[in-house]
Amino acid sequence: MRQLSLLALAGFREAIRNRVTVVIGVFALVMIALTSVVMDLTVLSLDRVVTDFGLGVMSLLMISLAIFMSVGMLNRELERRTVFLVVSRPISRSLFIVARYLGIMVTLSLVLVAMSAMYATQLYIFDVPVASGVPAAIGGLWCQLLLLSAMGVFFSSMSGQITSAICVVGLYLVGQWTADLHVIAIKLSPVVAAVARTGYYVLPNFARMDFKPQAAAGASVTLSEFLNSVGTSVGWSLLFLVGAALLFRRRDFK
Amino acid sequence: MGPAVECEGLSKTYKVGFLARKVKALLPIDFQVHPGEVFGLIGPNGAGKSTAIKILLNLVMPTSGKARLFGVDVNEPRSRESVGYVPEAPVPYEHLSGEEYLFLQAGLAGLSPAASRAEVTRVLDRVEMARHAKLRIRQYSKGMTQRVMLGGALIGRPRLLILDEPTSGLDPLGRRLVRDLILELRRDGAAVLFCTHIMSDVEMLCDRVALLIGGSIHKCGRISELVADTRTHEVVVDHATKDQVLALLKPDDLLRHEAVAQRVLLHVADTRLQDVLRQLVNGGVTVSRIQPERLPLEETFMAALRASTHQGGGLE
Repeated sequence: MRQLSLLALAGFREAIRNRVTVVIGVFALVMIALTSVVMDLTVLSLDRVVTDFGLGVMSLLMISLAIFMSVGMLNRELERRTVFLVVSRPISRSLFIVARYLGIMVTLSLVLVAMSAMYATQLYIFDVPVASGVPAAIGGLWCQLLLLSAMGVFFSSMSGQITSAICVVGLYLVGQWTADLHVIAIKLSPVVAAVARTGYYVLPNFARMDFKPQAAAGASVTLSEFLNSVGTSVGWSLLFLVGAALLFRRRDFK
Repeated sequence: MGPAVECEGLSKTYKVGFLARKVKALLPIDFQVHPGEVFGLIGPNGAGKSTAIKILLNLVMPTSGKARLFGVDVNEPRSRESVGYVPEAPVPYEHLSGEEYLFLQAGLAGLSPAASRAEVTRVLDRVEMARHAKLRIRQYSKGMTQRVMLGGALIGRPRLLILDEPTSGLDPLGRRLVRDLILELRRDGAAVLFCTHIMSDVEMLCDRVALLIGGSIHKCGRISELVADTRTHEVVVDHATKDQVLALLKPDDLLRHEAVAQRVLLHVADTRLQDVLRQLVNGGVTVSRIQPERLPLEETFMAALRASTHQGGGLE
């Protein structure tokens, strides 16, 4: 347990010292600059625009950060050979994978908390009431980060950085649109519909964890909906992590 | 007490590229390293030295054969409970300070926080890095980094130290430190396995040596055993012609000979030296100098390498 926490802490420390927190500053700047512009231009309800826009920027930055950190983590360790210094100690490779994943998640969680605090401040400054769906949207974003990071670790445990990034982004986009693709495919042909249906059930459904539309519309998210997204995320993440550990166990470090 | 390292029929074939072309890095090899012994793996680049070491540390999976550390299969993490390792040209976590890196290593080695603190202090003193402990590793010179890496390997007083090119890039002081540490560990009963290209280090430190060429062990044994048949001396004879000297000797006494200015240089095998000297002295010529030719191990190494090249040695 101590080895796990030490490795996770080392990963977190690396991210912080490599200035991952710059993302929070970028978020603040983008929000302040663009919200002012949007306020002048929008013809819609300001509350809705600010809520939607803030969550959108937060989501974009956090998802990019999660993909960047997770697909780069193992490859950086292998390139610099730092993995040699850890795996040659009496720890299993599975523990190494899990610890690194936890390090990424601790970093992402803290950055998300900081961004959320900044977002709440912004809503307060612009006198926009916090919609009941906003906490659920942020929780849903955390679930997406949990799953995206697991996917990144999984792909980088068997391939290079660029290939891993392409796979994760591809799966994320398909995962956002599986339901829509399913609806469209049904109207085409039985074969395409069958493929789309299989994809719908087999691929991780990111749309299920995305509560931004509800938050922007001021609609609430039920507890069962939220727990459903948490369950989906945790289940898929476990599956990807087990896969990553199995693949990493047999990998040669040349 | 059983061996610290055991390899039986250990081989490795890498699959390279998109078409998974097979490249043999290590043919089946066998060797053992015992507690209290310094064992050197020597050989040219690409001979399989690092691959063998990586298999022992479970960094690379063997294609066939068995490897054990202290009797435990290397697939099991507990086989590495008392092992320190310094890889070739290491790049440690540069965002950490030297002290933080050693704390991490102590924790990974299974030491408690209190034991880690004491051990880190001891090791920092031992590798003479206590003054720079708080600096980030990215601020260190190459030599300082190597010292910290060595410190990491010494955490927990390992019973087996595995070093891959430990003195490369070090200044004379650093090399001296590494050599002293290796000898100190041997005195304490630890086993040391290291690979290097620096033959003087091997001769100075190793009890036994395995010469790896083209993925297989060409020779293995004590240095004195390996070099006995190649040790030669240069005998310098002054104030005599080549013909005069050769007339005193039998044809198979000499490996070769040459005349330089007023001198005759005779190259004599160790086993023939006494006979040659006696015949020269009895013949009334003046022997002005006798000196061993080159480093015996280096000569052995080069001869084995030449033989392997002539036989078309090497791996694909």
